[in-house]
Amino acid sequence: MLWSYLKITLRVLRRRKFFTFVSLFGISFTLMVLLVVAAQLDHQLVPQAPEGRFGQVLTLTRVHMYGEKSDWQSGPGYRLIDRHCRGLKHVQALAIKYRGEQVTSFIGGQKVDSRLCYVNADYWRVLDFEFLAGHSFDKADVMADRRVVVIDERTRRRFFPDVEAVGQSLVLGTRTFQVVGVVPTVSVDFEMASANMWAPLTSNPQSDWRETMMSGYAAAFLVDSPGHFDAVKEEFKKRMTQIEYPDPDRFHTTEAFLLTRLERVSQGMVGNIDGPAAVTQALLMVLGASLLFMSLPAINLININLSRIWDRNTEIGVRKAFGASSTDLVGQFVVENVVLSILGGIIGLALAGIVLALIPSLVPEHVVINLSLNWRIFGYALVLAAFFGLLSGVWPAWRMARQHPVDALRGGLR
Amino acid sequence: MNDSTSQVATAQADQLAATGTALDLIGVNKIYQTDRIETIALSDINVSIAAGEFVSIMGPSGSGKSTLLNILGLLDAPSEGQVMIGDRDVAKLGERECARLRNRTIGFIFQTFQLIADLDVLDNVQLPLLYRKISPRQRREMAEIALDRVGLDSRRHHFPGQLSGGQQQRVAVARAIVGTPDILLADEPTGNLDSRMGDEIMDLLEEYNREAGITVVMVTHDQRLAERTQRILRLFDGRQVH
Repeated sequence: MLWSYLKITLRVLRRRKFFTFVSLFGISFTLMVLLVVAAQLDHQLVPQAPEGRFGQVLTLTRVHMYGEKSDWQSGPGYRLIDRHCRGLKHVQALAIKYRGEQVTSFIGGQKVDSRLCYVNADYWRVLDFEFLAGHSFDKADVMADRRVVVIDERTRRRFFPDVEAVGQSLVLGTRTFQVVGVVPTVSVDFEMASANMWAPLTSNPQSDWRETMMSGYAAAFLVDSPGHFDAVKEEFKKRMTQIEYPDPDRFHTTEAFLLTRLERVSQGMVGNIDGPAAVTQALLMVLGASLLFMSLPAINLININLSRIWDRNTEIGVRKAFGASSTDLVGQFVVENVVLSILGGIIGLALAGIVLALIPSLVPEHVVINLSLNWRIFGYALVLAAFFGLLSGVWPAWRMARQHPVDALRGGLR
Repeated sequence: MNDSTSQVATAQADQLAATGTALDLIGVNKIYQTDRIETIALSDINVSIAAGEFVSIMGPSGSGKSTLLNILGLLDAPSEGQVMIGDRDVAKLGERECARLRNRTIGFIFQTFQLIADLDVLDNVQLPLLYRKISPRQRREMAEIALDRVGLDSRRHHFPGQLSGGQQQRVAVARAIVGTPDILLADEPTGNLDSRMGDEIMDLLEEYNREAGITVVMVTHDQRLAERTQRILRLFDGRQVH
């Protein structure tokens, strides 16, 4: 029966070209937008190099510190991480990164902006950068405050297009660094990995960087097993209650959470609340927004579907006369709509691929965004398209299929 | 014919033969009601049609012929009265059971053919079998046999729009008989055809009635065709005229 439904679906779509075009346009445009969003979320949620180990990493990126007179939210400071976050049980390595600064250089009279960040030696253990040339810097380099730097491939192409980059000197503002390694360019949405250049933590030119409780740092905790996440979080939470505040009149309480990758993305959407609650809220938000976004074209498609099925009243009557039940007919029209939606989904997927390919050329030059389609996105497209088909197809199908056969044969509802 | 289908058809035919009556209408009224007007389409109809009988229904336009046929075919429900198919009271059947009864027991032929334009001849003929548990291959074989009986086997892959009126009605006959129903209901089957084509369709109905013992009820305006049937039922203003 399904094959018969598919055959008639394709013939109906071919015969009613205008209807097919209008429907496909609405479906594919809607799904294109949703798939671009899905690609972005997929990119952030699925661990991949250089954040390939983030399936067993907890991060600390936001802190809320407050007292009677002050209230401050920002990234953690180095002192908070150094004094209160080290030595947690089950944590194998602690990566620390200062969000860095935008540095301007001139190459052949042309201004080039790059993002330089400062990291500790364990940063290279927690993140799995692939080195195209050279190597990372180690603890000794950091301790000795050596002016060494790892650069990304984009920076290498700019500064050293024709020569081996490793060993070369790089002038950044008033300081000169020696290039020790080259890594692939990192997409901007990898919060812990993203930068164009990485220098030792001790290169930070700010004089008080070691003393800040609140600043622009971020920390990534490599845990021996995701099964120990809760234990690490619990110990961290306890540590946050034991902080000694330099100025207790201003601050006496700290609210901070260690987050999984999913929780971090969720918190980015809903604010600084506990991880699991953030995930639930973000999930509801994404689902609600998607449903709302899909509902407008779905309502439009419902109208188109009603008139399309209305045109086929006689067919409904004939099928009923020869033994089709209302359920059979609902099945038939829903299959038609789902097939149409899946066709729209495939077109939407192609359009989303084009948009994702165009995004890098639309953002500032120093921002790198690498988004692409994959099999998971294709899966999302199929699920979204099928859901859209059901959303817009069930009601018109049910409404038309429950007609009395004699009314349908006469050409319309009584 | 597929074994299981054959068994079902045989069982139903046996059931109708056992009761001796294919269709029974007892005190049937049909009233169409709108906000202001009440239209009586059928009034106190009492008809009994024996299994294997060929009956024609005649009457002027608006006399209720098609309404009566629709009620006989479970396409419409009476406002009052009882409709029996074999020994089954139709009023006691749910939507799904009515659909099943139409599918297994009744075949329809319409004046305007009512073929589905998006389906080719073979798919149109297979339509009633789609709602039975029959494999696609068996459906196809049964449809080919039905098409062969009406002499249109060579047109199986044509679409309705590519056929003449007579050919379309022959496809409609094939569709009506493909599921070996016990009752064939034909609503002015020759109304849109010239006399030669009309005779051809009538020959097919007679042949099927005679050879398969099927009950045929035909609405017609054509006295000549009506006289070829075993009994004429006349209606006037929704009432039986004896």
